[in-house]
Order: sequence, then C-alpha cells, then structure tokens
Amino acid sequence: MNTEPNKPWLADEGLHKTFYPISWHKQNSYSIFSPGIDRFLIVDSYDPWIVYETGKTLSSKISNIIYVLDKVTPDMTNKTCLNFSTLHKKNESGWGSPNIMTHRQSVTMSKIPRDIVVERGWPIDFVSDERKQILLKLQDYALFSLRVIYAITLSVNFRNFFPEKEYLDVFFHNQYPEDFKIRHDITKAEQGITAVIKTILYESNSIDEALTLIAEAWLKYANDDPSGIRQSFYKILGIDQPAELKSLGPAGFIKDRNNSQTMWVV
Amino acid sequence: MLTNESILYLGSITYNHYQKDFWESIRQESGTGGKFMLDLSNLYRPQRFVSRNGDWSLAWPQELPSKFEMPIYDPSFNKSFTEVSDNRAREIAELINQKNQKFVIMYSGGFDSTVIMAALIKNLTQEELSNVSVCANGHSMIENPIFWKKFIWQKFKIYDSSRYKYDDLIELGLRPITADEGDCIFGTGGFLELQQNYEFYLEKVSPESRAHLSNLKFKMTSPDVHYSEYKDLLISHWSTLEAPNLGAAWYDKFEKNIKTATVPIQSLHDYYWWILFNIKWFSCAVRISLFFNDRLDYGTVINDWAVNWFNSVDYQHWSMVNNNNGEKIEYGPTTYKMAARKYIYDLDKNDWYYNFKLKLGSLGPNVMYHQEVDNLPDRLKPNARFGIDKDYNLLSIDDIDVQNYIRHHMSQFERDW
Repeated sequence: MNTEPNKPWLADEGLHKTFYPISWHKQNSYSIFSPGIDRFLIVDSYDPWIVYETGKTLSSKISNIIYVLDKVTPDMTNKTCLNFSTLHKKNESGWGSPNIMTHRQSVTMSKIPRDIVVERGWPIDFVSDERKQILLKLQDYALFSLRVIYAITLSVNFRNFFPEKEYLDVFFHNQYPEDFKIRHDITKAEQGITAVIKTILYESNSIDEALTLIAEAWLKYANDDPSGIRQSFYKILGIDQPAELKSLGPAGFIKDRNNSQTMWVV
Repeated sequence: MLTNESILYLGSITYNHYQKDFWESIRQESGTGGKFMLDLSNLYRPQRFVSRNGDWSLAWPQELPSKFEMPIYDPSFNKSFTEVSDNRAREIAELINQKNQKFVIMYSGGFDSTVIMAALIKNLTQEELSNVSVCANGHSMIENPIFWKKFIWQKFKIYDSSRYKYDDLIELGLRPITADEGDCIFGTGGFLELQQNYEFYLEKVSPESRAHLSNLKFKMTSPDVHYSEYKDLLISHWSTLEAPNLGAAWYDKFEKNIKTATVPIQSLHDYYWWILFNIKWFSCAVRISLFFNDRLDYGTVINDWAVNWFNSVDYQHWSMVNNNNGEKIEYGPTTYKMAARKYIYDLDKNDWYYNFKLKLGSLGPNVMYHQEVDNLPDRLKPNARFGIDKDYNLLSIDDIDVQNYIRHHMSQFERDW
C-alpha cells in the first residue's frame, strides 16, 4: 500500500496495469538484481521488457541484471526485496552473468535457474545511516524510472502514428536516401521522445531533477502535439501535468486544427 | 635461439586451451611441480605468476626486469593516496613540459583508469592537457557514462581502443599510460568472488570447519583474524573438480611464499592482495605490451614507451602500508578501492559511482575481444604468445624450440614446497 500519494510509482496500482490484464493478481515475476549489493533492487508483475529497459537507464548509477523469477521463489515485494539475495552465482558463469568476475555494466536478462532466492537481511555495506539512505534513494529512483518507462512506452506506442525511423532502420537498412527527413514519433525530438526521456533518467541525479527535465522536454518537443501522448504519459505516470504543460490546452483535432500543424489544413 | 639454459622474463601456461594437445602431452611427462602448474592454469588461466618477494619456484629459470621489482617495505611511509596520485600526475606534466612528450590514457571507465584521468585533470593545466589523448571504446562510455559526458567528450582527442593497439598509438608518437596494475595495488577480484560465493565454498569443508568459518564470514577484512583461520575455505576456493588436491598444494606453496616474504600479510584480504601485488604484478605490468602490440619490439615498448601508472615506488609503498584500514576495502564489493572512489569523487561528485560502482574486468571483454587478428600468422596470434625471454624475444607456443624448452623444464620440475 502506497503511503506517499505524491509518489504513485511506489504503488503497484496504476493505469499501466490495465495494459496487462493477464498479470493481474500475479506474484512479482520480474526483478532488477544488483550483484554489487547482492540484493534485489525492485520487483514487478507486468512486463519483463519494461523492466529490462529500466535496468538499462539505471546502469549509469549501478550495474544490474534482470531476473525472471521462478514461480517457486519467495514472494518479494518492493518493501522487502532489499533483504533478499540469491545463491546461484557460482553456477552462472560467462560475461554478463552476476558472477563478480564476469559481470558487465551493460544489462543482461536471465532466469533464476531454480529455487535459490534467500532472505539475508539488510546488505552489510549499507548499514550506516548515510549509506542506508543512498540505497533507499536508489530504490526510489528505480521505481520511479520503471513507471516512467511504462508511461512513455505505452503512450508512444498507443498513439504514435509517425514511427518511420524504426521501420526504416530495421526493414530498409541502406535502402533509402541518407537525406530523408525521418521522424521517430509525433514529437519534434530528433532521436525520438522515448530516447529523450530515457536519457534524462540515465543522467539525472534525483526524481525532482528528472521530472523537471522531462517537463522541459515535453514543452520543447511536443508543445503542438496532436496525438495526446504527453497527456497519456502523465496519466500513466500518475501525476498531473505541470502547469506550463497543462496550459498548452488539450491535444487533438480541435486544438491543432487552429494551431501549427499544417496537416489539418489539407 | 631458445636453449634449455635460456632465462625467461615471462611464460604463460594455458592448459586446456590453445595447443591443447601439446599441453596434454606435457602433463603426461611433467614432474609433480609441473602438474601443479598445469592444474593451477586450469583454475587461474593464464598462469604466469612471478614472485617479486619471497620464495616461489617455477619450472624454468626466471628473472624480473629491475623496473618491476618491489620496493623495500617501509612501515613509516605516510603519503596519502591523494598525494601519491597528484605527484604522479605532476611527473607526467614534467615530461610534457621538458620533453614535449605526448600521452594517451588507456581508459576503461573503471576505477583505476578514472583515477588517472582525474589526477591529470586536477593537476595539469589546459595547455599541458593538450598533450593528453584518450584511448577508449563504447564499453568505456557505458561503464562510466557521467564521467565521459562531463570530463572527456569534446575535451580530449579520442582513439578507438577497438582499432588502435599499442603499436598504432606509439607510431603516432603517443606514450600509452595504463592502469593495469590497479587491481594489484588494491587487492583482487578473487577475494570478491570468494566473498560472493562464500556459502558455495563452505559446502566443501567439514561440518566442524563450516561452523567455525560461518562465524568468520564478516571478518574477512579484519586485521584481528589471521588468514590461516580460513585455511579450509582457501583450500576449497583453490580446488577444482578435476584436481581436488590443488587447493591444498596451492595453500602450502603460497604459505611458503608468505613466510619468506618481507611484507606483513595478516587478514584474508591481505592474502588475496598479496597474490596480485606480489606474484601477478609483473604479468599485469607487461601483458598489454605483449598482447596488444603486433609489430613493435617488446623491450622498446615496455622500457621506453609504455607508462605503468601504478608502477611507481610511492604507489607501491602506499599499498604496503594501507591494509585493513578501509582504504582498499571496508567489507563488500561496493566499498572496494575506497581510496580511488574518494579521489574520483573529489572531482566528479558522482554519488552513484562512489557508492555503487562495481569493479569489472575490462581488458578481456572490452578490449582484447575486439582485436583484429586475422591478418597475423598463427604463431604470432595472441593465443600463441607463450611469453618473452630475457632479451624480450617473443616465444610462440607454435615453435618447436619453445615446445622443447617447456617439455624439458616441466618434466624436471618437482614440488619443492
């Protein structure tokens, strides 16, 4: 139960859940594990690929590995998982594994091979109050990042009717003129709004800093967005749009016909 | 021409790897000491331990270039890591100002190479820094992204370490600076691996010993507990399925080294630190010159061009007097190389790197894996490079005289510990 209403990402509930009806009431199955701390940082019930993308953005702060948990592992929550570890590292070898000799900064995904999740208590390197607070701040940031990536991924894919870049890169490699003007999405961001927001998560030092930069990005790249992805983003994130964004008015046909998008003229 | 009397600077044993059949035949003919070295290489490959202090017998005659000898232990040494690092940077500045030498930092984003970058950025003027370049690749950026964006990108000329080897850089007039002995200064990943898998290794000891060792789990970095208390755990850590007696043989051999050494070794962390600081130092110091260089004479590269950042007298003195005080490690992996974390934090103020960064192996997956070797004849490919003799000649494991040399010495090498 989330006791901090201004931090909706701490709650399991949220609009993102409605995209995953098959996972309702399921045990947390996906997780971010830190071999350095030797504990699970966060767990999630819905989408391994969103968790994987979260692990990538978090890798600027801590190296991690994404585990798909076996159904027999203990029921961890985001309130308890910092006390849980695994036993199996010796058996997981090879680059990208959690084994400290072969672990990498870039994120990999793996499955817990068997029932080897164990409760170990609070990690010894983070017992002092100062170190405890920085670890809790990291977990908070990880949960925030997870919800942001749910929000941007679902919003962009739900509403994106300009997805040319991905199609051309994947299906038309070296088969189109280099000077084509290509867009990732409906926004004006050269690398696409998803990359802009992930980079903000990658570089920011705090949730407040990230929220400020995200709002600035929407203002810069999507102030005349006719699709409504910005509104969807904030709804799924679970917070109101900042006033400056809200004042841009509603997205969609009515506003944009009278504004800057020439497509409505023709 | 290699003869049985030839003295080596370095020889690598890669049993069960390249030239597998040759090494297997050597095993059949080896003395007890030779078999030990082969088994050890199966666990710790490549096996090229060379002692700088204390007894450590090898199969072949071995000498150490004076440049890499260990300074005499000085318990009164009191310079801080910061002072030593700042001084080291000013030595580089002098070479820039007096000789107009140009340098390239072999940068991985890990603690050791980031210490070099931080030291140079802190201590050199902008004009002096214009003589410094960075050799890195995508892995370096990913490993320490904030430092890259804040301190390297668009501030230094960058060479791609997936394309430029030592010979390429030196032919451009650049002296490579490597941090490859950083682990030797601070300790070893082997210690962290043992710590991470403590329960796994405990499973192989007797129930009585297990109970004793369970109580010592959180004393591994304590000066109050002598490493010998962990003897059964060490034997477990150094044994393999194929060679179950390897751990005991290792323990006895290294124990002999420690007892004949002139530096105090107390805690379990000291024990693993000493492995790197003493018997792996030379291998770490020259391996890039030998395996990341296809054209240039090894002696010239090692002695005239490559700069081993941590191979200074002061860094080694610092390392010998800073055991078990939290400077190398407090307990777990997020406190490893604490002195380096503090030194870097003083510049970048990155709380995340300071509190959570994990030591990662960089040379193999980040650099060597990308090397283009198809243009080399088989006998010169890195896997075939057995070592160097005292005249810095390359010894290829594909050459018959090298094979005969190994066969001769391994067959005569009996356990002397």
